[in-house]
Amino acid sequence: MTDVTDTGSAGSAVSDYMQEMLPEFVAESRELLDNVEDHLLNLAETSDSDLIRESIDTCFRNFHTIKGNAALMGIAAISNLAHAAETVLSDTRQASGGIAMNHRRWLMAVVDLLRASLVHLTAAEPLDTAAFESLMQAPDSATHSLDNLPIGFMDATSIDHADQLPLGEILIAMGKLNREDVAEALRHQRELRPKVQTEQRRSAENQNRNDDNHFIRPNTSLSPVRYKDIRVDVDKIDRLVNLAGELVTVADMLMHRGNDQINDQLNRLVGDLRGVAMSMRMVPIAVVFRKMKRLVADISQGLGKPVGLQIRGEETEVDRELAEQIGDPLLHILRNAIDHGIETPAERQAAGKPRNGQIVLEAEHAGDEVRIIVQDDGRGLDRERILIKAQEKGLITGTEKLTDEAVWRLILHPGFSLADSVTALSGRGIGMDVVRKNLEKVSGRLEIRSVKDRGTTITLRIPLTLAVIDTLLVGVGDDLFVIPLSAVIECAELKPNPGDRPYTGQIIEIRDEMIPQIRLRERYRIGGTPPADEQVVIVRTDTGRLGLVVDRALDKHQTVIKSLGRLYRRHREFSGVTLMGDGRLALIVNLQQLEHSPDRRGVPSDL
Amino acid sequence: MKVLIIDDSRFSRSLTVKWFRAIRPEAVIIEAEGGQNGIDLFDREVPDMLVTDLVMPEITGDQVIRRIRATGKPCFVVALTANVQKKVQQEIRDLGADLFLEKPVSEEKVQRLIDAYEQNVGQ
Repeated sequence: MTDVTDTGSAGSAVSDYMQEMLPEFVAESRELLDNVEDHLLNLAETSDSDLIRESIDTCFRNFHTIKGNAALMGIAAISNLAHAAETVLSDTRQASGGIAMNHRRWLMAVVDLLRASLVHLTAAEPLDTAAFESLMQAPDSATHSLDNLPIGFMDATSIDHADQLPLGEILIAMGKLNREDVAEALRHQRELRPKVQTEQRRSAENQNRNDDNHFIRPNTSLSPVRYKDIRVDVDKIDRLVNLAGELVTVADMLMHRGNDQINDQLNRLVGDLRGVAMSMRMVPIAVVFRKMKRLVADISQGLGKPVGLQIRGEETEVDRELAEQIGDPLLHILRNAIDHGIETPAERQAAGKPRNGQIVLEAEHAGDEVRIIVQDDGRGLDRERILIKAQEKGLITGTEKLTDEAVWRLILHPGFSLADSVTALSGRGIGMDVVRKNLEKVSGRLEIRSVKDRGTTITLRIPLTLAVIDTLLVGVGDDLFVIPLSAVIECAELKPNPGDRPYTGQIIEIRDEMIPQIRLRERYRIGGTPPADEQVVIVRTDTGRLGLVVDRALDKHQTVIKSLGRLYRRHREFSGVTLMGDGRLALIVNLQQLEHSPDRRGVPSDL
Repeated sequence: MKVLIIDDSRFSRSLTVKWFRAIRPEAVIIEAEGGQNGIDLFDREVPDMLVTDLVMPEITGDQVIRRIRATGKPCFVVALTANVQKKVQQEIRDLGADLFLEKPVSEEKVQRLIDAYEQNVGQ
């Protein structure tokens, strides 16, 4: 067994440098310990040798990880104890068969102590040194008792009733023990604990009842530490958000029936509930931005290009999942900005710019999406160079007339690199295509604007992934559709278009402005005859405005988004479906898809 | 320099990454949380250096090293391990690891590792 006396650094001694890593260490250790506990419980319940082996391997690996991580944190006590656990498990693995019951119980005690220690660490309290020392002695002290028999050899259910005589008789019959051993073991067992029931062990409360066994229990639940926050399974939060969303629908149904006073109250409560539920998934983007600050400083120093980073809107709240996913893409964009965008101080001076480059990193909410903007004041993208490289790569033939926006988008192609030579510093980077792919994971899009010698702005636009959005309900024939209200500019009556065939009109004129139009009736092949007084909903899209021609615009509607499920995932024209108060379904129009599809100019109806 | 770091522990991986970034801010660092993911990323990104943990569920570090050596692509391979047994080390070395990095990882160790890599590449 490892040196037990070295619990020296166990106190509150986690260095300042490591202190910022502590939450992550604690979170991961908790997960690993939960997993160990599950497997230890499994071990008590199975006699399948494959499962036993698998559980032992998993426990070993988890303790191994905890050992390594604790060593990284410089917490010797935890590292040593995890090492001891690892040794016990490794011996068990070699021995084949199963894990001795006293070993399993000791491992449970280790799990409990480590969990309690994580609480202490979080609260910056000293660890329970005595408990550590006592556990470090323990695993082999309880020898020659019934407990020592490997579980894998026995019927697990018998173990649960180990205080009943027949088991002893069986063991004698099996030749595993003689009568004296059994008598001794039973006496020992009675001293240890009145009952061994695995079910009981599942309850945390029960763990304190075991105080009379010879392993000193850490006082887990007696600890006065108060949590300011609790860990909740994200699935549960998602369910809560979902339920709150459905409640919105039901409240909507009631709107048309109950009395006004109750309706007002109900609506307010349901709205608040929904808000709270959704906010539970949100974190300020500051957690991501702060990391970027440090990284930008490091990169600019490494490249010898002094850069000032200005951060705006770091209080903007984003979905937790997004905060986790956005770090890498942002880092790549910032790296590119410094590496390729910002000039050297000498070049900047020659161009009459301040010596230090300037990068603005900004987050803001805009409608139902969050925008993250990276703006540099560097040399800007080189249109000619991109076109040449794109031709070399065969992405374009060279004869197309491309807008700036289309040219900039070329750099998003896989393997596109502007670097002339591969050096240690540049040109080996993960390309912008990876940034784009990462963004797609969170259904985000990327926009590039660039002006020569003035700089480049990259905007990431990511939906807030809200489960409930405000929408405009429209009807075409008997079908209902909803359009995200944040995109709607206005509704107007469609003026008849004399002289033109009514169904092929491509452009409509609204307030002297020509806007491309899409007839939902034709687009979705609904059929039927449109009414004389068709209406047009003007929406804002990436590239401008778009008119959606519908039979009638109905009402504002709070929409609970349900995904269409895997069967329909290729139907990207709709981003989901929603249930109406009266039980009818309405499809949610995906405006980006509508706009980008090739037949956006409207096709003649073939129905 | 492009570095692929494979480690199933989020915590330990993030620290290793942190130190790489502190020492070589310009390095491109790719992270994988498991063996299979690591092998996929290796094929796609062709890193100059691979740092892999050995003890991992499903596809273990030694399997990763074996697979990567089988591709024949040049790469400086570092095995991350808490196991200092000579026998184990020799086995991993025979598989084609260039260097061992003994756990716990520290900034100094990452520095030494980068030095070793640069010497190796310089040759």
